[in-house]
Amino acid sequence: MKLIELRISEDKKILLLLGNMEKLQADIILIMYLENYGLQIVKGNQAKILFSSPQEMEEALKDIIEIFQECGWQVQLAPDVRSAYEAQQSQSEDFFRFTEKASDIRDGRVDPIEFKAFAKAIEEKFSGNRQLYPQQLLAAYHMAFAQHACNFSVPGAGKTSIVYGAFAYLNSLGKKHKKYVDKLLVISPLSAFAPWIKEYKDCFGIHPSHQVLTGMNYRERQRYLQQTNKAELTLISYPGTYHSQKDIIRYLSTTNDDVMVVLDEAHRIRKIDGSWAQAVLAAAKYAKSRIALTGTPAPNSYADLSNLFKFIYPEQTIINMSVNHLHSLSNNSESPSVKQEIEELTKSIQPLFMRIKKAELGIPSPKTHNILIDLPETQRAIYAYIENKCLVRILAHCPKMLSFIRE
Amino acid sequence: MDAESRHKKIKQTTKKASAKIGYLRKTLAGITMDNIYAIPVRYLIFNQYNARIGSFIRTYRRTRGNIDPSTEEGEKQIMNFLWRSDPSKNKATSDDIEQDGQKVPGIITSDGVIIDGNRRCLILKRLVQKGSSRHDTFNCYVLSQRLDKDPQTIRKLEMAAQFEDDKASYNPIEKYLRCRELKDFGMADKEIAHLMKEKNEASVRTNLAILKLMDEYLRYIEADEMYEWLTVARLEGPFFDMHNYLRKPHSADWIPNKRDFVKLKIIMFDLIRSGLRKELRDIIKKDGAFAHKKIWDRLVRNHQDKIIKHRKNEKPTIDYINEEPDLPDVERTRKRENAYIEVAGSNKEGDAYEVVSDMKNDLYRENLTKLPSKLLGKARDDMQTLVDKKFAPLTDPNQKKILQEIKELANHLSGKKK
Repeated sequence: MKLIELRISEDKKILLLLGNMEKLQADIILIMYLENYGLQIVKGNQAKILFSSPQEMEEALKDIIEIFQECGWQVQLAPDVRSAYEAQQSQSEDFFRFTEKASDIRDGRVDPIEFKAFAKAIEEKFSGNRQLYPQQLLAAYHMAFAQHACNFSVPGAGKTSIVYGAFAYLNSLGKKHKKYVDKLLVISPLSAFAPWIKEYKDCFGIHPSHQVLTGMNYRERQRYLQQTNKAELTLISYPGTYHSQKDIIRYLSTTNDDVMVVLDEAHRIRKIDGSWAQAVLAAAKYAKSRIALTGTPAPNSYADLSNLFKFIYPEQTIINMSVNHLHSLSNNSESPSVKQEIEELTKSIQPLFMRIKKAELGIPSPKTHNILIDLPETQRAIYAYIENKCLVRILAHCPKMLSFIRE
Repeated sequence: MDAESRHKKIKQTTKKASAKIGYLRKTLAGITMDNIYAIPVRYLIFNQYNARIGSFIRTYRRTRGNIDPSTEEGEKQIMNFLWRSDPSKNKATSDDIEQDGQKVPGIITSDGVIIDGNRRCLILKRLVQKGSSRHDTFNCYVLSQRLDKDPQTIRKLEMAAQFEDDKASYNPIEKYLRCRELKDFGMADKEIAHLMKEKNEASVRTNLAILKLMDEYLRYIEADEMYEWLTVARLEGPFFDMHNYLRKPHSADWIPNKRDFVKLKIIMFDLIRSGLRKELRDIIKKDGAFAHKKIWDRLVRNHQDKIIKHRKNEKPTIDYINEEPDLPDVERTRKRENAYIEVAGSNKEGDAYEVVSDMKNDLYRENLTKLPSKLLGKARDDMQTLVDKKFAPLTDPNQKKILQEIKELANHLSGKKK
C-alpha cells in the first residue's frame, strides 16, 4: 500500500513527508508534481518541501494532498497539518459565503438592523456638510463589508465620499475589531490630491492631518514612511509608489497602523507588466483594506480588469481567464459563445464592485439658461483676428461655405 | 599502457628528428602550438569526454559503469561508439585517409590523450587492426600539459577544439549535453555561446531547458540518462517544439496552475511516447485543447482512464535487464518502448489514438461554433476597409455583380427568402 504521512516543522515552513521513500521515488508522475513545489528527498524515510512562509505552505497543502490522492496514495495528516488544511478549506468556504453576501448588498438586499447601525455610525462621524445619498450609502456599506472592493461609479458619483463613509465606519469599530482601520494611503494622480483633502473636510467637518509624499525627495519619503507618527491621510502618486515600493511595503507590513490603501483612477495599473502595476500589486497583500476606484475600469479591453481584481484580492483568483483570452473576449464580443463567457466573467467579479450611474443619484436634470455676454476687448480682438484670417482662406477654397456660415 | 608509460614513450618519440613532420602555428584557447609530430597510434588513448560520443558514454555508464579508455575493452567500446556516431561519414573519412593519408593534424596531451582528432585516430587504429602498416602514426600537435596534471586547461582546450569543427558533424543531442557540461564546468552563458557558436546567451539557456525536458522524459520512460535513445528515436524535434509550446502557451479561457502544467507535460510525454508527435500542436496551439477548459478537462480524464492504465501495467526496466543482461541499453529501451506502443499505441485501435481523436473532434466542434462569427467578422472588416478607403459607390459592373451576390448570400444567411 502506498501510504504517506504529512507533518509540519516547528517553524511551519517545512512540510515533512514520511513513508517509504523508495516507493515515493518510483512514482515518477507523483515526483513530477511534487518537484514543482520543490520536493527534496532526504535520506532514510523522509522527504521535505520547503516554503518561504507558513501561509505559502497552507496554500499549497490542499494541492499537495490532492496530488497524492490522485496518484493513488493514502495520506495521513498529523494534527497540525489537519488543522492547517481545514483552516484553508474554511477560508475558501468563507470567501464563497462572503461573495454571496456582498452580492446581496450590491443588489440592495441588506440586513436592516446592520445597515441602520452602519448609517448611524457614519452619521456620527460625518459632521461636515456632506451627506451620502442612499446609493452612496449602500456603496459605502458594500465597501465596508467587503473590506477590499472596487467602485466603478461614473465621475461625479461621489466615489471619494463613499470611501470616506466606509473608512469612517471601519474606524468606528474599535482597534480590536479585525476590520478596523485608522489610516488612509491614497495612491492617485497629482490632480486628485486636493479633492481628497477638501472632501475629507466636507465629510468630517475638520481639516485632515495629511501628508503629500509627492514632491518630497526619496530620503524624505523614506523618513516619513519609517516614522511612527503618521498623518491620517497620506497621498502619493503612482510613480512615487513605484519609487518607494520597498518603503511602502515595509510601512504596511510592520507598522502598528491599520491602513486602508485606496487606488484612485485605478485604471492606471491596467498594464499587466507595467511598473506602476507591479509596485502596487507587490504592496497589496500588506494592506488591511484595499479599495480600487475608477469610472473607466476597462477602457481598452476586459484584460484591463485583471490587475484591479488582483489588487483587491491578491491571494484569490477572481478572474479565472488568461490575459490573452480576456483580450480576445473584447475583440469578439458579438459572438454568442463569447457573450456567454463575458456573462460568466461579470458574474465572477460582480460581488466585488459597485457602480453608480449619475441617474441613480436622483440629481435633478440640469436646466439650461442661456445668458449672452459680450466678449471683453482682448478676447474680441483675438476672435476677430482668427475669424478674418481663417474665413478668407476657407472661402477662397470653398465659396459655398459662405451660405453655410450665414445660416 | 598507463599514463606514465605513454608520457615517456611520447617524449622519446618527439625527440626523434624523424617524428617531426611539419610546422604550422596554431592557437587555441590561449595555447599556441607549432610543431606537428607523427606519434604511433598505440601510444594514444581516446578521450571519453568527446562531445561526439557523450550520449553513448552516458548511456553506457548508466548501466555498466565507467569506461577506462586505456584498457583494451574500454578502447573497443569507445571505438564502437565513435564509429556508430556517424557511420557514413566515418566510412568516407576512412576511404580518404586510406588513400591520401591523414591531412589535418590532431592534438594530444603529453600523456597521449587525444584532445582533437578522435575520429581520425579511430580510422587509423581500425586500418592498423586490418593490417595496414602505413597508417600506424597519428599526425598531431603535442601539448606540454598532461590531462591528470592540468585538467582545467585541457578540458577548455578540448572543448575549443571540438567546437572548431563543423557543428553539424555532431549528433543533435550532443549539443545539449555539451552545453550543460560547459555550464557545470563553471563557464558563463556568454562564454558557452561563443564557444559553441550559438546565437547568444538566450540560446544557451534554451538548450539547457530543452535538455532538462529530455531528462524528465527519459526518467518518465524509465530510461534515465539514455540519451542515445533520443537520437535513435529522433526526438530532438519534438522536445524543441515542446519547449517552445510550454514557454508560451496560447491564450486560454482559464488560468492554469502549476499542477495543470505538469499534467500538460505528462500528456505530451505520453503522446511523444505513443508516436503521436504531430498531435502535440493540437494541444497547445492557439485555440488548441489547452486553451479550452472544457476540452482540456475531457482530455485529462481520457488520458487518465485510457493511457495511464498502460503505464501502470508496464514491465519495469529492471525486469528487462534481468531477462537479457547483455542486450545493449538502447536495444532494451527500444524493446520496452515498442511494447508500450503495442498496447497504448498510435494505430487506430490504440487507446492513445482514441484519446487524440476525441480531442480533435472536440476541437473541431468548438471551432465550428465559432466559424460563422469569425468569417462574418472578417467579411465585414474587409467591406469596411472599402468604405474607409472611399471606394463607395462602386460603379464597375463586375464589382456591382459581386455586391449583389453578397447581398443574396446575406439574405440567405439571415434566413430571408428570395
